[in-house]
Order: sequence, then C-alpha cells, then structure tokens
Amino acid sequence: MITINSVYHDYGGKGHYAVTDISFSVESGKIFGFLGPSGAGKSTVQNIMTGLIPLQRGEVLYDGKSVKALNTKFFNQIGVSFEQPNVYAKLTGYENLKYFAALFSVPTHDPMKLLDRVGLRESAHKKASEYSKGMRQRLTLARALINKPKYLFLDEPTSGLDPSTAANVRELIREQRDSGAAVFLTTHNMELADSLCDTVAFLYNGKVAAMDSPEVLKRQYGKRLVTVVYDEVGNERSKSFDMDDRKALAEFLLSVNPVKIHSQEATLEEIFLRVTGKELKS
Amino acid sequence: MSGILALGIQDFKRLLTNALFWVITATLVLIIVLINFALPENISEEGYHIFSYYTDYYADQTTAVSSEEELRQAVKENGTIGLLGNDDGSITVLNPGLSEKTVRAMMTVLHDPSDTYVEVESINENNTAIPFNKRMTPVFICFEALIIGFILGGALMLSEKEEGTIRAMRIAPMGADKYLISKTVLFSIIAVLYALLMAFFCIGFDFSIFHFVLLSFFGASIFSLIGLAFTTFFRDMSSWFFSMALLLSVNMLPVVAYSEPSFSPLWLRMIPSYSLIFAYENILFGMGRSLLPTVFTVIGWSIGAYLISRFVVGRYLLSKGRR
Repeated sequence: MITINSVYHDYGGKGHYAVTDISFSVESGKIFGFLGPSGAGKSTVQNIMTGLIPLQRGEVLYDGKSVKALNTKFFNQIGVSFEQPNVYAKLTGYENLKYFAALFSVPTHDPMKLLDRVGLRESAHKKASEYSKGMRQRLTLARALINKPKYLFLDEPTSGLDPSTAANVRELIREQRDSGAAVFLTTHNMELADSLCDTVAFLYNGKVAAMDSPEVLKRQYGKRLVTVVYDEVGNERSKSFDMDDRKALAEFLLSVNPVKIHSQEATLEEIFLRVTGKELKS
Repeated sequence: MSGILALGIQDFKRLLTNALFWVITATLVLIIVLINFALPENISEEGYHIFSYYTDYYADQTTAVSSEEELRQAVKENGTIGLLGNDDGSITVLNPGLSEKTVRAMMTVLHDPSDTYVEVESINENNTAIPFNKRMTPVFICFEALIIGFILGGALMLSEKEEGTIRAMRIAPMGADKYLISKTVLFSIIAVLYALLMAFFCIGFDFSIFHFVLLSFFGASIFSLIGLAFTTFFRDMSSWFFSMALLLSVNMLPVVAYSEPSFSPLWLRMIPSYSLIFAYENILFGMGRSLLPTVFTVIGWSIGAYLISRFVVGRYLLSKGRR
C-alpha cells in the first residue's frame, strides 16, 4: 500500500506551494485515479511519490517505509509510464524493452510478449523514431510493466490512442490491478477514470477537492434524475424529475403520452465542475 | 554482470547510429594514411645547417655569411641557427625558436675551455632511428583513439537527456556504478581496438601488445569517466560541444613536451595524457624506461576519475529527487 500524508511542495522555496496538504492511500489490487486539469499539481505529486522530486514536507510511505529511506533496489518494484513518451528513438521497440529489462535485478517479462500485449508485435523491430505518438505511448506503457511492478504509476496512459487500442490498454491496466498491483492513475480523462478507478481524487489548485469511489461521489454530488420523453402533438419533448420525487413523476406519466423513460446520473466531469466550479479540461 | 553486458550491447547499437562515431572512425583511417604516406620520416636533420658571421667558429655544416642582415635572413628562411660574433668577443645565438635550455647547453659545449672531444652516444638503439612520422603515432593514439569515450560517452548521455530516457533511468534500480561501468567498458574496448589498429598499421607488431592493451584500456577508461562526469552538467549538444573542445585542447598540451622534452613543467605533467603519451612512446619504441611510474599514475587517475564520476553522475544525473 502507498500512503501519502500531508504532502506539500514548494518549487521556488518562497512559500508558493504547488501542492498543499495532500493525503490519500493507494491499496494493493486497487486503482486510484488522480484527476485534475493541467497545472493542478498531478505530476508534482506523482513525481514526489516516485522520488523524481524530493519530498519536502509530509510523508510518502510504501508498505510503511518512508520513500526517503528506500534504497535503489526498491525501484525494482516500481513501474512508471510518463505522459510524454520517452524512449530511445534509435533503438527498436524490442531493443528498448531489452535495454530497460537489463536495469532490473528481478525477473522481467519477455519483451516480445509484452509488445504483443500492447499491440506492437508487428512493429517490434522498427526503430522507435518511426513510431507514431500512440505507438510510443504504448511502448512506454510496456516499459513500465517490464519488471512486473508492485506499484504502477500511469500518467495519461490512453492519451492519443484510438478507441480500440485504448480499450486494450484499459484491459491491461485492469489485469495489473487483478494481479495485485497498486495502480496510481493520473489523468484528466473522466471516462477512463470512471471505468477503471476504485477511488478517485479531484485535484484542483494543488489541493484535493474531493475524494471517494466514483459511485459514492455520484451519489454525493450528482442528482439522480429520471427523464421522460413524451409526445406532444407530434413533437417529442422531455422533462426530468428527481428520482426521489416519485409522486411528481407518477402524476406526470399519467398526464402525458410517454415515448421513453431513462435514468440519468451525474458524470465525474459534472461532479468536478460542481466541486471546483471549473471545467476539467480547462 | 549480465545486466552490464546487456546495457553495453544496447549502447553499442545506439553508437552505430551516431554520426560522431563514424566521424571518429573515418578520422582513424585518415590518421593511418597520414602517418604512412603524408608525414615525412625525417624533418629535423634535413637541411641542418649553421650560419655564422663575425666569428672564428667553423665546422663542416657551417656557412659564413658576409653581413648581420644576411645572417638574420638565412636563419629566418632556413629555420636554423645563426652565430653572430660581437665586438666584445661574445656570441649571440640567433635561433628560430629553440628553448633557452637547448641554447644554453649548446653554448656550454661551444665555449668549453678544455680541448676534450665530446662524443655523444645513445644507449638506446631505437632512439635515434625513430622516423618522425612513426614518432607521431603515440600522439594520435592519445588524442584520437583514447578520447573516444570522452566524446561518444558525452554524446550518448546528451541524447538520453534530450529523449527523456534519463528520467526513466532515475526511477529504475540502476546506480551510478552500472551506468558508468557499462559505458566505460564499451568505450575502452573500442578504444583498444582503434589504438591497436593504429599501432599495427603505423608501427608494426614489434612491441608488447599486453602492455599496450592494458595502457589503452585504462587510459581510455580515464577519459570516458572524465567525459561522463563532465557531460553531466550540460543539457544539450550545442552548449557541451564548445566546452568539450576546450577541455580536449588542454588535454593535448603535453604534445609540446613530447616534441620538446626539455619543456615539462609540473602543471603539464599533471595532465593525464602526459603520462600516457610517454608510456606509448616507451612501449612502441622500446625506450627502455621503467613502466612502473606509468602504472602508478594510471591507477591513480583511474581511481580518481571513477570516484569523481560516481559522485557526479550519481548525484547530479541519476539521483532520485531530480527533475
């Protein structure tokens, strides 16, 4: 389990905090979604957690051990997929994975099987410089998985991918969760978060604005609505009712000629807007 | 160990796609051709001559001229020595740029009050027989083959920075040791091959290959390690290239001492290439000097360079906690 307690970070050292009082935990076998617009502080928190940025204040614990006390061998257990694909452009996809596999002192995946899993088998022997952005993104993801990580950090893993490939990547992430990895997913893609995450946290202006499971957040912040589409002299019209106001709904249904009825729940996007007052993609 | 080997192999593949690697390889061929076909075998003795005016000094290769102006002109045009007699009986030695030490030694012989005949004999048979072009081989080995790791190690590190792969390494369980050893061993092996090629084609096979390989391997290691530590502080090729060229120029200064052994101040002897260049001369031409001081110097430099690189690369390049 990864535990974050009251983490702050000030890049300039002048009291302007990029992130403030961040606390959460990522359990093994769970996916934790860290959601927020660009500049909210998502990458800062991820970089502190992976040790790329020094921990200034607060605690980051891996199974109870502080990130400050961890030695080089600990990094055998971590996998990180960066938002910007960073691979050796002059090496092939296969060679890239072979190179990074050699850095670990734990059993690693067969590079070719992994490339096959992310849909790059046919391009395995092409230089990474010839890959499209989406292909490089998948190669970066494969690299993050090469050491069978116990803690997996994914930064916008489906960015730039077509729907079919994105679905494949989603399945791969679920597999990592099911195999017991603690997955930390950073994204501003609410659909992705909704479909994958056991818990999500909304980060806004360097602070956690809300945090819970998507279902609870929807219940807590969203309105459960029932929309009735009805016929009015040849024209289709609709009206929404609060699901708890069943009496009004029943009276309305008796008074019109309903065409269809469907329930609606708030999306994470709408909840984010409600919690922060800002759109997520801004 | 297998990890270091795998890293070395992948680095070698990256190297094969690096333009600088092929430039250095082409330079190697060019140098071999230059030594064998362009540089003369003898430049110092050809046209050796002394001009004199207003002196009673005479020897076989001395030509008396009729005026001071003519003497100065002859020295300038022929790049040789002129003896100018003065009214008070003293002699001024006009020279095209000899060291003061050489001139004083010559004057001492000229003005020796005894009539003792001075004979000079070299106990090293090879010493006098080394052609000029062959004598340049140690210089080219030092400043072409051995610095391969300095240049290419830096180039590979900078591409890792520019591609962002260095960030992925920072979150991998790789310490500075693995990073440094994989690259240093690769470049040292390449340097040994290049140095051997240069020696075989320019000198032949009549030297201790064992000593030569050891010297080349550790000499190249020193330069690779220094290069990796140095490059750590640069972000891109453009800012690095100028500084790298400057540092390599300083490293080439011992050529002065090699050409003019009387000039070897302490600061020049402190430059790593100083010991290496004379050690190559010793091995390739059988100068008969002890190799022990070179062994100590190279070991000292290797340990020092490794410790410095380990600190710099570990702290400033691969350190967790850097962006």
